[in-house]
Amino acid sequence: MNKLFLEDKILLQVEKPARYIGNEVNAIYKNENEVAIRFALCFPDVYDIGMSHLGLSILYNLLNQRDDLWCERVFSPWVDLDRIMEEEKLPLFALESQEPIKTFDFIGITIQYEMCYTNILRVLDLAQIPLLSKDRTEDHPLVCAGGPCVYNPEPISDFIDFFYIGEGEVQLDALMDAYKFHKESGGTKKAFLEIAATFEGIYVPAFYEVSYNEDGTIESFLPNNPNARPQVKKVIMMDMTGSRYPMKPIVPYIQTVHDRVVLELFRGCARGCRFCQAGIIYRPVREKDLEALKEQAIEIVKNTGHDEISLISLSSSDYSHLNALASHLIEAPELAHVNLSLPSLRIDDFSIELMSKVQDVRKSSLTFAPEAGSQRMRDVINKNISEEDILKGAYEAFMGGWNRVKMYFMLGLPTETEEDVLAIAKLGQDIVNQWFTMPGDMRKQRLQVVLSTSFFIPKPFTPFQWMGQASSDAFLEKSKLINRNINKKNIKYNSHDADTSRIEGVLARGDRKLNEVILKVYQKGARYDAWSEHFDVALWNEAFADLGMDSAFYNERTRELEEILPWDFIDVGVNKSFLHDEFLLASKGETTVNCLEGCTNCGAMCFEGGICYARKA
Amino acid sequence: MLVRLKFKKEGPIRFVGHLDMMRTFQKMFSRAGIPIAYSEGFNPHQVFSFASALAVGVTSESEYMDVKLTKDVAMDILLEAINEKAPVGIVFLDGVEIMSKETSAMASVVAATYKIEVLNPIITVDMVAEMMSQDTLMIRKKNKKGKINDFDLRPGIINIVLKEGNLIMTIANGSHFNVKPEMVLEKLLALNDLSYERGDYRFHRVEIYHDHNGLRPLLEVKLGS
Ligand code: SF4
Ligand code: SF4
Repeated sequence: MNKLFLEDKILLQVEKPARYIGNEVNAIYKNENEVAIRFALCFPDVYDIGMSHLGLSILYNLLNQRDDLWCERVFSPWVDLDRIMEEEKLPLFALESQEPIKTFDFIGITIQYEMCYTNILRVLDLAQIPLLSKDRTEDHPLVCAGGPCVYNPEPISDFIDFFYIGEGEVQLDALMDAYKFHKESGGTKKAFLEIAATFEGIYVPAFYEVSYNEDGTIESFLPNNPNARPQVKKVIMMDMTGSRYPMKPIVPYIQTVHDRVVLELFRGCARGCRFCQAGIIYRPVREKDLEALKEQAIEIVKNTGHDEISLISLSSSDYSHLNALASHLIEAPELAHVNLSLPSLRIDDFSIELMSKVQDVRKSSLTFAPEAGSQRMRDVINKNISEEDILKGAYEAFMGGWNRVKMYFMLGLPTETEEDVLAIAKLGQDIVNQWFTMPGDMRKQRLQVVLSTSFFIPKPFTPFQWMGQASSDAFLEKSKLINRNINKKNIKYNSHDADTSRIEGVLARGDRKLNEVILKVYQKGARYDAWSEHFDVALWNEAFADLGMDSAFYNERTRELEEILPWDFIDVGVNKSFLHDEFLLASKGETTVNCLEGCTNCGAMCFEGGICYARKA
Repeated sequence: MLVRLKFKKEGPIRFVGHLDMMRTFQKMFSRAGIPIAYSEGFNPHQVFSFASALAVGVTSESEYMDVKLTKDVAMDILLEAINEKAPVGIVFLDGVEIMSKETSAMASVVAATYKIEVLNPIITVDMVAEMMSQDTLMIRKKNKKGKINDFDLRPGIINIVLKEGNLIMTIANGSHFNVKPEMVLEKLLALNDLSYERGDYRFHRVEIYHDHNGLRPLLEVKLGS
């Protein structure tokens, strides 16, 4: 455990050297000679970001429960170390053993956002592993990937040997058993991939052949290997209470994005906002038992020493036992010095009482995500909040002592008009007006309203998956319009970068042809595209131009209903026909009830559990 | 109950800086379940303080901290409880109870001894002797406001010897007069037209002192318990 791969000389030159030393409390160490499988679990971004990700912690715990396997962590070295490693030709190493990962059995990459694609290539390159799956030999690790982005794995299908579509708890173990057996019997990589392809949820891109029409759309997408499934269905945990949760998560030395205990209340989301991919691909909602959560909270606090617990789920306030859980977390004597933080509360059932019990009103700001400014637009996206709810919620919050409000919106939503855009500025002003309806002695502090807009990106497996994305110019026009129409006295306005949104839009709905683009962009030096200070859109524009490709084909083009979409071969449980029905309702501005109010038979019932059944019981 | 604890810091954790050590220790004390006192207020924090910040990359065999407890705990039980939950590389070695009137470790530090392993042997006994024969050793130093001041290092160097490839120096440390070991090294090299490379040295803190009838290690408290 005392070994460090990097010399002191290097560690003393880089920012936050503790990113690279491992050895944190609860990090898992094993004897490398006593394990059959070496697994490098990679989050292709800097340590501080990756260590805040619950999924990584879940997989680390899950895999390390096996005595025959040692799972270690790998992150992207920050740009300072990246440069040094390149100059000195140092191979990327795992944090625990501090050994190069190029000799490991697996590199498993969790892919949370499209803008990390170039970082994935960087990780492979620094690890001194050929970037293309076809160039790797029997001596190289198998490279696999999971996470939300692999619901359209096509743009990175040349780099990854196989994708795991769904939740790791389900059958990562069985897959590792199969690998061990296979390794012991001396089989080839290809033979293993053929076995893996028979597992539900596993996609081996090399076993599929894609042909294209003249216009660039897909003509056919077919398996070319008898073991490959024509449809790959996601695998999910139905018994969340029984699923293995990390009770001893690693405690980083340095401050990470989330420096606290995270409790997962449920997976999936009942809401059905039409722009939201997570709301569809994780269906159905599967809750964890209240008693189990109470015990886990206390146990994890004891094992980490954190002084804050945060509830994370897609829409935490929908948890059936939220009040009972929150009261327990506030009152349990074991948690006397532990604070509770409640993110992503919905404004419509917003409880000032609960919030003021757990948060320092003076320090925290209140966050609402109405996503659209006008009621018409919110109906289109099925965001079920009324203007009255928002204003009432804000007023109550002001009366409760809050003076800072952050609101999130999207620009460029389908059917959006100038009026809808202006409604964002107006809603901001209406919130300000609420403040001034309060008695004067309640308004001693200065009000701060922050409006943030991001640009709408149509994603696979959403009702808007066929829609064209607005162009960067159109985006900029819209954000300028808002900027011109807000009263800057009390309102601050932030807007996302339009170019990033464009590239993200391209990657989200890309096909296999994008592999070449990503490779080219990487070769031109793109790194840390997810970081605005490192993102360079010129490299992407050049790469498209060099290859004679048009990025608008991927993001701005509206697809025909009959078109074979690159991700159609994945089965998320929710039917394509449901998505299309939702699309039609959206066009008419009609809303759909959410799973808490009623079932609209989206298809996710095929998983035989969760909210689809709980509600009826 | 107030206690002063002595611990060592070695191995990879030497790359964890002072502020992160504070966070790490807070979590360690919570895990250990010791009855540590919390401050008043909306965001209570644990009541403890380090004697002296240790720079990133530096190991130590004698670091000190004062900790306030809400209950009396036998020292051996306390040390055992903490050691069981301490991160790799941190070992609590000893401790004493201190009177509430005892000057805090942080406020009483006056000097520290460092052992510096010289990896690239360019320093000679003569060079050290020559430096120490000077009356003043002026260096330029930026203060907290970014202003550059000239300042004399010489009175801050209490002792320095080169022994078996290690430079062992006792220098002023603390809020009144603070000399950093690399300032001494830089000066020593500059006098010989050589330049200082951080990677050529491995720093290790051997002891931290307060003034208690001469330089005494911090664990030898002034007011008997
Ligand atoms: S509430 Fe809406 S946006 Fe949030 S996760 Fe659920 S479906 Fe997505
Ligand atoms: S089947 Fe019904 S209850 Fe289940 S996720 Fe779909 S809409 Fe919701």
